[in-house]
Amino acid sequence: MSTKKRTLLKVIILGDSGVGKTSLMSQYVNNKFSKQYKATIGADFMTKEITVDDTVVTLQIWDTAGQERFQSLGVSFYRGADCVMCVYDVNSAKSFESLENWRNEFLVQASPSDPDKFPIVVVGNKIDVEEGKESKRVISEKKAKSWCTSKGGLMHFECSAKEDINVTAAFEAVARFAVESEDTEPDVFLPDVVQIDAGPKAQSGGCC
Amino acid sequence: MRSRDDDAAVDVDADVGADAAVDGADGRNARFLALTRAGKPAWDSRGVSSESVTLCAAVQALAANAEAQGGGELEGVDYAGRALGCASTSTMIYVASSAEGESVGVLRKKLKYVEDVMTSCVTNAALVGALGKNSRFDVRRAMAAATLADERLHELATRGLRRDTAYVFDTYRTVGMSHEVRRSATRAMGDALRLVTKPFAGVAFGIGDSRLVTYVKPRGHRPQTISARDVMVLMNYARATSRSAESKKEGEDEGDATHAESFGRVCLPEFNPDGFMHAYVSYIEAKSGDTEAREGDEEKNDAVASSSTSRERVGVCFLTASAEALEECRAARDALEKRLNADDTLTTIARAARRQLRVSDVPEDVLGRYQVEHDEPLLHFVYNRPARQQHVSSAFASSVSDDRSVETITRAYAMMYENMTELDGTVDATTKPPMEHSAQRVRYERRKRDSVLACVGGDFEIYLTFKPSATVTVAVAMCNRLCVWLRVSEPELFLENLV
Repeated sequence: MSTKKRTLLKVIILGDSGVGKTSLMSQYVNNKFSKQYKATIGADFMTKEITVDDTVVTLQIWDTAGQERFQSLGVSFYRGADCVMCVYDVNSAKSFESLENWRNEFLVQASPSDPDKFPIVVVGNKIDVEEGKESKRVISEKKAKSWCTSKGGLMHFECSAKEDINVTAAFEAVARFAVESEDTEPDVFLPDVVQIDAGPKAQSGGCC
Repeated sequence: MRSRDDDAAVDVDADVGADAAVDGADGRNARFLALTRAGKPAWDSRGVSSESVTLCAAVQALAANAEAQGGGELEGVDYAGRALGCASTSTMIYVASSAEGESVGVLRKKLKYVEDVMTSCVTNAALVGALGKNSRFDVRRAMAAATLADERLHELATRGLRRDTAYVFDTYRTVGMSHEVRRSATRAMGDALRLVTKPFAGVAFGIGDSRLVTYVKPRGHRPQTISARDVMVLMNYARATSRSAESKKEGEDEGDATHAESFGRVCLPEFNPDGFMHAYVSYIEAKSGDTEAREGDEEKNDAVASSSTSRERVGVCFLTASAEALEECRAARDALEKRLNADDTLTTIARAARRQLRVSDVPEDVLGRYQVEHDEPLLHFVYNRPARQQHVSSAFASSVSDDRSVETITRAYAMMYENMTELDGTVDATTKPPMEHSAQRVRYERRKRDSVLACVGGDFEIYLTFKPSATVTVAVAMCNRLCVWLRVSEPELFLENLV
């Protein structure tokens, strides 16, 4: 019988429409990539079980809608998140600039107990795109890392969902980050024994 | 609001995994699930697995979609022949699935008890307080820290909600015995409870099926009674405790099992959902060594509630607010056992607790002609007294006493009960219009293997299962006669002076 500790981590993927959130999740969970773009409506989810050190981690990965008209529903899935993956397209300055909004929106909506220490991982996707062919890389790794540092040292990865570059490493870092944060959670709270005599209309007296 | 699968604002690919998770391995049995509003599993009747995680995510997506569309709570989903009932609190979502034809309403009613037992394990304060402050609060860790949490929920899901009529009628079951014997037991229990610091109640119950013999509360305490829902939580706790104790005692001699005891924390949600009290559960045993021999022949013919033991034993539970009261509870147990053995009352109580009321116990002049002339058409009955919060049910006739038949009939009662409580006025299988001010409501449903007659009066309810060959005339006539006899017999059937 396995003695490994088991835990569940809820991971939320955020980012502008078209940055490749669904592709990252699909590549990581199913090792599949589709060239066809299909906007996520509301939210999608997948689960994957991995092992981090001595802990079996079940990742419940939520892929939220990037399009604004679907975002109201996505917000309801922020509750109880253990980690956030903020995704931008290295070829889109706007998607990078939006990271600030995504991060702030999450911290407001999810209200984590310690926002400064909440595990957030920043992922720059589409590094496979060749310069001059479809678009041009506009966000350098240095610039992204600088921004992450300014936000308290957020972890940063550059990936390609299409070519499966660094995808697993990014998700495993997410899992490890969240597991380490989980260990600092306080012990389980269970209340005290009820005060029977202090109950409503309670009186002292003998037995029947 | 109710939602169908095609309303879900989640991608279909995700639902595929959820469907498989709902169906489970056997694709038939009911499944119960508790998850936080964050979509994280707290408990799964099939054990928390990655499959549970997928199902929880699907439920959270459906719940969010329901809220977004109409602002209402997700009540249920119908999918591929399975019904999913959902019940939400501010912090938790409870889910039941079934392919047995149960309505979403019936499933939601069951979930009320799943919520009760969940609360009894970790308290409302943990669920609402802790989850309110930190939505990442791990309910599974809280349950792991609670006493027998998993066993208690499994006991409820695997036996209680499927076969125990208490969960259908929201009233607890009682052991029938003479008024004098019950009064003696009540007095003795009251005296024993005086030995316990900060007492809440003393309860005596049948070991096999957790029917109540009696209970007492300290004089002056309010409320004077224990609510039926709390009694059911407590009996579920006692059953889980005894099962756990028996499994631990496997391999040891039988004598040790006799003195199995536990002292753990339990929350009674109706009394106070935010705090625990301590429950001491053990057994008292009749000392009449020749009991079996003396009454062996009679015993062979009895419908025995518990087959786990031939000893004359009764379960006892002392509830206290003191964490230091274990030794006092032991002393109370010993005093109670000694007192009830002094005049052999315990033997009488234990025998009554082992025996179930049978249709054949009903005097001949009550049912005789109908039961004999129509090939014993009555298979089972339940007599419910909501105001007393108690009911009695007969033993199932041998032809329907297997687990599957019992579960089928219990489900039929649940659906009938839902129909009877939903509708006003006369409920009739015929096309007669409802009589809005009728004092009595009657419904007769013919089914493949049996027929069920339900009759709701001003202060009682009776549900009877007949062979399918029974005519409406015979069923109604037997129901009427049985009602009269049960009403007269109430002093022996129910705990008195508790309301």
